[in-house]
Amino acid sequence: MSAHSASPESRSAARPGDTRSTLRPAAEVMDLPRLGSLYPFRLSFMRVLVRRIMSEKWRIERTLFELDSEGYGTAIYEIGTPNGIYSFVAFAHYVEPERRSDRVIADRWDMTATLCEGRVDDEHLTMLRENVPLQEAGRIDARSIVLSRANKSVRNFEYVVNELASGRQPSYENLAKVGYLYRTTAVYGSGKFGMADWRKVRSRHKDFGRPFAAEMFMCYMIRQFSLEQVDHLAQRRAPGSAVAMQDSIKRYFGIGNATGLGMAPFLVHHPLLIARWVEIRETALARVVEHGAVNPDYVATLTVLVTKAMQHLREIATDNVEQHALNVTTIEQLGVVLSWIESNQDISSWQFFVDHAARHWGIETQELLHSLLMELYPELTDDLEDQMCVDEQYSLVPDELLSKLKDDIETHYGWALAIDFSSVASQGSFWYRSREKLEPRLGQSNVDAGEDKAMRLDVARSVRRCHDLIASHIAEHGDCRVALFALRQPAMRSILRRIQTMSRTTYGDIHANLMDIDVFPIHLLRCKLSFFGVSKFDPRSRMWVRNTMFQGAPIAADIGDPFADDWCFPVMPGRNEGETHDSGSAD
Amino acid sequence: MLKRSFEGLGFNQGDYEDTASAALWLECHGLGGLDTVRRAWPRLQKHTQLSVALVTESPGSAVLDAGNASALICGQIVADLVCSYAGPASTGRVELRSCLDCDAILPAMVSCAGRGFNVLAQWNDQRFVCLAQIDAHAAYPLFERYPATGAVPETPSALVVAWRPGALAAQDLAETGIAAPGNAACQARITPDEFRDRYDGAVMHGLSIDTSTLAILTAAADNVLVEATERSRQGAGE
Repeated sequence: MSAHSASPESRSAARPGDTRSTLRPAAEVMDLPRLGSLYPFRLSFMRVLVRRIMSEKWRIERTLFELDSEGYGTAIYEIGTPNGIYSFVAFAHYVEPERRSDRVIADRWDMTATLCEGRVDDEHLTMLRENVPLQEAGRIDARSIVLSRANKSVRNFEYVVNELASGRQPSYENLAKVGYLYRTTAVYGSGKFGMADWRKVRSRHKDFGRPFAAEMFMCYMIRQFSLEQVDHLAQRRAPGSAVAMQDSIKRYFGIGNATGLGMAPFLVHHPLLIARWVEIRETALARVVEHGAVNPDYVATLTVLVTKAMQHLREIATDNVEQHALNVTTIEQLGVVLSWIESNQDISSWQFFVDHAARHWGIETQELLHSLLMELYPELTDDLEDQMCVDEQYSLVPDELLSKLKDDIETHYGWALAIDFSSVASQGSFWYRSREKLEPRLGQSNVDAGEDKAMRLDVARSVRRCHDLIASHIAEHGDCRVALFALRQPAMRSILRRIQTMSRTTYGDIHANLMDIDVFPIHLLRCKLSFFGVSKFDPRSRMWVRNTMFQGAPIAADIGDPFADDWCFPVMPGRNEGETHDSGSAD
Repeated sequence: MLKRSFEGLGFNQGDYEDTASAALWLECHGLGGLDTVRRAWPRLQKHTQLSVALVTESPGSAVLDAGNASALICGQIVADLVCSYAGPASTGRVELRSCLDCDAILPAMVSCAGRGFNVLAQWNDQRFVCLAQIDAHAAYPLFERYPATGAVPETPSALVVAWRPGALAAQDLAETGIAAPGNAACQARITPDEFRDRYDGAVMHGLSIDTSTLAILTAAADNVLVEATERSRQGAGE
C-alpha cells in the first residue's frame, strides 16, 4: 500500500481548532519494521524537556559536591522550576572492573542517583545513601521520582580526564566513536521500589507530568554530573596545569544508554499510550504535509537539515553489520534526496515530496525525512507536546453485540487474523521473566525452559483465539451481548477489553507476532527510543542496543542564553554548515 | 506486584488484572485491600479459574452464583453484566449469590460510573449489610455499613442495580429492593469526599505492606519466574 493512498484505515486528525489532516493508515504506520525505523523528532520527550528547561529558565545549582581525589562521593544539585524545587542526588562509587556490567543483573555501578521532590535534609540523605546504591535491592520512598544508575565509558572517561589534567581539550575525533562519559543501564520511575506513583507525579509535579519527562531529566542530570566530575578529577590530579572542558565540547557529550528486552514488554502492556504517541507523531506529520507552506527558504532549510543528518549518520560508529548497512544506504539515499530537491526546486507541496519518497526510497530514509520535515514548522507541531498522555483504561463495551465485535476484529485486526498460527515458526519464540531481577528474556519454543511461565505478550494469537470462539459462539447460540460472552468465556476477558478499547483508537495495536521464531525485538526498542529522542542507535544484537541521549543539547550553563532548539541529529562541531553552536577547535 | 502474584497463582490474564485492581482500589481507599487478599488467600488459591454460573436471566436482569468465590475476582463481571442490561429507560439488575469479600463490589461500581451509569448496590455478608451508591461519571462512591438484622442469609450475596441518568424516576428506585442510604442505624459511613481524601493520601505518601503479606505475595509472584542458566542469559542479548 502506498503511503497516502485512501484506505478504510485512513483516519483524520480531528481536534478542536485543527484542520482535518489525513493520517497515514495503521496498516502502514503500525507495521513493526517501520516502527523500528523511526527517528527522533520535534516532539520526542528529550526535545520537549529541553525546550521547557530553556524557555522556563530552570535553575540547576550544585549544592553539594563532596567528591574525593578519585571522584567518589556524593553530589546534590537543586533544581528550581516555576512549579517547584527538586533535588538530584548522585553517589559515585568505585567498581572493580570485573564487576562492571551494563546488564540489569549487575549489582554494582560507577554511579547511582535519584531525583527527589523538594530539598534533601541530612536524615533524608542518610536514607538515600543507604538505599540508592543498592538500586533494586533497596527501598526508597514517595519523595523520590526516579531511580537510576550508570557506568563509565572507561576509555573515554580516562582519556578526557588525562587530557584536561594535561591542560589540553579532548579532541572531537577521539570522542566521535563514543559520545558520552557515562552510560545509564536502568532508569526506574512510576512507583517502583517505593517511589512516587505516576499518578502522584502527574498530578503534583507539573514539570514532569508528561510521559517519561522525569526519567529523561534524570538522564540529563547524569550527563551534567559526568561533565562536572571530569573537570573535578582533572583539577584534583593536576591543580597547576588542568583546564576545564570547553562548553562547546561539553555539548558534544551526551549520556549513553544501554537498552535491552526490558523495554519491549512495555509497548505490549501499554497499547493505548503507544497508539497515542504514534497518533501525535502522525498528526504532526500530516499537518506539515498538508499545511506547511513550500517556498525556497523552507526548501533551503530542509537541504541544510538533510546534509546535517547525513553527517550525523556518518558519525555513527557501530559494529552491527545490518545497522551499518542501513546507515550507509540511508546516507546514499539522502544524497539522492539532495539531488532530487535541487532538480525539483518547484516542489509544489510536501505531499508530493513524501509520496515521491514512499515510492523511491527505503523506510529508514522516509522516516528520517518525516522527522526533518517536522523540524521546519514548529508552529504546526509543538502544541501537540501536551497531548502525549492518555488515561489508560481498558474497558469492556458490555452491551455491544458479538456480531459487531467480530466485524471490528476483522476490520482492525486483519493483520493478526492473516497470521498462520498452524506453522511452527509462528510460535517459535516465547518471552519469560528470569529469576535474575525479573529480567525479560526471549526463549525458543520447545527448546528453552520456561514456556509454561511465558509472559502474556501473544496479542495476535489471542485475537485469533477470541475471534474463533466468537464465531463458534454465534454459530451455536446466536448473537448476544459481549458481557454475556465474557461471562461464558472468562479467559477471553482481557483480550476482549483490549480489542474493544484499541479498536476505538486511530492506530490500535502494533502489527506484529512477537511469538514468531524470527521476531526482531530491537524494532520495539528503537520505536520507543525514538519517542524518547535518542540518537546513534548501535545494536549489539537483535535484543539490545546502545544509543546516545542529549548529545548536542544545551548544558546547564546555557540556561538563560538564547536557544535555537536545533540540537537534533547532532554532529561534530564544525562539520556542518547548519551548526550554530560555537565550534572552537579542541586541538 | 499484585498482578504478578495472582498470575503466579494461575489466574487467567483478565482475572489477575481485575483482582489486583480491586485489591489496590480497596487499599488506596482505606478499606484494607491487602488484608482482604490475605484473608481470602486460601480461597484465591483454590478458585484460580473464575467460574460464575448464570442461574437465571430475564430481560434486564440476571442471577449469578459465584460458588463462594471472592468479589475481588468476580466483581468486574457483575459490573460488565449490569451495564449491559441497563436500557435507555430501564435498570440493569444483577444478583450475585455465594460471593465473599463483597466490599470489592465498590471498585466494580466505579467502573460502571465511568461508563456513565448511576449505580446502587447492597450486600449482606452475614455480619453486616452494606449499601453503596455512585453517580454516573463520579470517581468516588458513598458507602454505608449497617449491622445485619433479621434473617441472616444462607450465604453472602449482593445486588447491583445500574441505570442511565434520567432513565428512572426516584420512586422507581424503591422497586429495586435496595434501601436508600442515609438511615440513622448506619454504623459506618464513608462519603465520596472522604474516599477522595483517602485516595489522595495514598497517592501522596504511598502504601505500606506488612512483611508477612509481602512474603506471601512474593512467593506467589515468584512462580512466574524462570531459573537462570547460562543459556537463558543469552536470551537477554549477551
